[in-house]
Amino acid sequence: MAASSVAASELLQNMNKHISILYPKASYVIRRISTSRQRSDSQPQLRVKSAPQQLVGVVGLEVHAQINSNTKLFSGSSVRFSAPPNSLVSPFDASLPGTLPVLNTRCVEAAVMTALALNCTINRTSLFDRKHYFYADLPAGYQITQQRRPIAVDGFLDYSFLGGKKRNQVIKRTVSIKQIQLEQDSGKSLHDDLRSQTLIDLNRAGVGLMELVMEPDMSCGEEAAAAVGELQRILQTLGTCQGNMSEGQLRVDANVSVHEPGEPLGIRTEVKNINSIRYLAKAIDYEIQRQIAVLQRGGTVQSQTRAFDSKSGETVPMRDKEGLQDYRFMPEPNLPPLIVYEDNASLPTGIDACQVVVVQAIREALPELPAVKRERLVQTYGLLPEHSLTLVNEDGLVEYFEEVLRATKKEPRKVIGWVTKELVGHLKQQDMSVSQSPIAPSALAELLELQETGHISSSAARRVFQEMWRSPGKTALQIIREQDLGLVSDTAQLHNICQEVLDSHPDEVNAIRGGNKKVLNKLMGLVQRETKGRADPVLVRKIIQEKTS
Amino acid sequence: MAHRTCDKKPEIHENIEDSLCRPADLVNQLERLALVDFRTKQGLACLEEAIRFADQLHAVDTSGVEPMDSVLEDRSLNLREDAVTEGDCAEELLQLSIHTVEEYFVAPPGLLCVAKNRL
Repeated sequence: MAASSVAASELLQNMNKHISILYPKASYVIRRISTSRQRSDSQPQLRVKSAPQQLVGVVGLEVHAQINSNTKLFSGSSVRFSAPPNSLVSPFDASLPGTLPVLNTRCVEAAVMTALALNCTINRTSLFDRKHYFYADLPAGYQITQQRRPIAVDGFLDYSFLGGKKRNQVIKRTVSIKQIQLEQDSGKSLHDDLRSQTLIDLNRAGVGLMELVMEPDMSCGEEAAAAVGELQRILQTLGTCQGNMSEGQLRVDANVSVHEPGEPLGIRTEVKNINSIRYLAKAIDYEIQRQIAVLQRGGTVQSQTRAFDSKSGETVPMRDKEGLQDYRFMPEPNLPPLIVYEDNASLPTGIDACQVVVVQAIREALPELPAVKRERLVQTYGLLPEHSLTLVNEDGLVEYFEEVLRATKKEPRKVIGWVTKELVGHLKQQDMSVSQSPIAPSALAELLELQETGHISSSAARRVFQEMWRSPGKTALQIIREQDLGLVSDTAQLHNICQEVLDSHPDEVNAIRGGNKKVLNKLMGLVQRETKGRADPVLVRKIIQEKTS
Repeated sequence: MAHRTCDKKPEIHENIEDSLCRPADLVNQLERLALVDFRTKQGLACLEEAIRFADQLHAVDTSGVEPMDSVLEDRSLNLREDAVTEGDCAEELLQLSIHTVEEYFVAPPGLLCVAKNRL
């Protein structure tokens, strides 16, 4: 403080002296050296909020789902994930003059089906518009979309996830869907930084997309991930989108802001470049924390677009696009309004059946949605909601479970734990899917039968399961024989062992006789240790109770 | 329009200032997008003329008139069956482009700064 200023001014004096000696003709003098301390004193203090704020996150999502169809939205070119560059491109897709868009019936049906599954109102009439912007992978210079009146509005998506302390409570939420619109996908650009050029592949240009706008009803990464997961399942069940995020079939952008509950919404940022559900949760949670930190420092959140960097787990700003984009929306003059009909009765006379989309027919053809499936499993098998949630959420698990049930007489409620805890637990540890399980449903069923019929205890069964997992060829019976895990049901032997234990623990025997029944468990534990866990617990308890009565 | 860049500051007519907000920014943006330098007296005069020409639209009173957005008027929208009928003409399409690399189109370098902003 004072000391450093004094030192600084001394230094100044010395320097000036030297300068005038060395350069007598020089007319300049060093007037001030700013030390770091001086600098900070002269700057205004940053506002620091006094009370800690209860800031919460607000998350809205924009989802682009690639329609699962044979051809593109407005042209007859094929839709495929990988193909030689520019081989799936028609003159219309390349925006050559003299070409016109012709709408694909399948894409309309897919949009209507998705809208119905998401409880939307279908707009009987919807319109197409052009959204203009310049980019190399958009050959026409505009994208055909539905800005004025989309095909569906005002829906909602129910989703749930496991929460609570033990993560076994089903927590239900709903997110509103503002609208669903049909639009074209753009081509792909590959940046060749070495040669300073961009290579364009138009195979994806013109593929049909459904844009789903979700209202900012979510508050954190977990909720957003659960919502997108459920959406993915619904789309895959409907067959309208294959929902593979890593292949770009399902793209999610998150709009994130923070605020104090009850206060107006804060400035939001848009987070892009998220290509898995796990990263979606991470990106959103990081962004919420980042914004809270900014506000707590007294700063303000800048409205900007940020990209998620999966390596660092952070969001980083994308360079500002050239000011505010003016998309110059205009009606697409080559496409009259799209009309969908409620039912066959409302069709105009003489109209060609191939030229119409009838909502009622699509509604009747809707498959069983995941939520309905979960409820059905609860009813059919007497399961708990958290069990059916896990069953439906894991690909192929329902089929696995039902196959096990077919091969065993055991009750579903007794089988479910093995499937949702043991099997899923092991699969998750090694990041495997159900189809990769080393234990087939029939093998698990065999193990459960052996347990049910008293050949092995529950704890032994778990050990056998682990051994079966490690050595996929071996059957349960083999392992039981090899490791001698079979239940000891030889009553004479059990009597002897129990007697030994009771003889060596007279205090405990007295305690039981005195009314303390809990000590019985300790004695049972000792017997189990003697028998290496192979004693039938029911039998042991009976024997001990007899002997101590 | 001349393709030379001019080192002098652009002479922006008052008329343009009236019709546009932040005209210098707009001229920058238009130049970058169009890949044409028109920041000359001629170029700006042309721009001003174009705006004045378009402004004539305001002379017509269209209140209460439903806009016509397609010459197709009341025609119904034709729907197409979801069957592959075209594509597979990469060679033909690539022939239309001066620069290609293997089977890719090559984007002009002027759009690279825009490219870096997009993911």
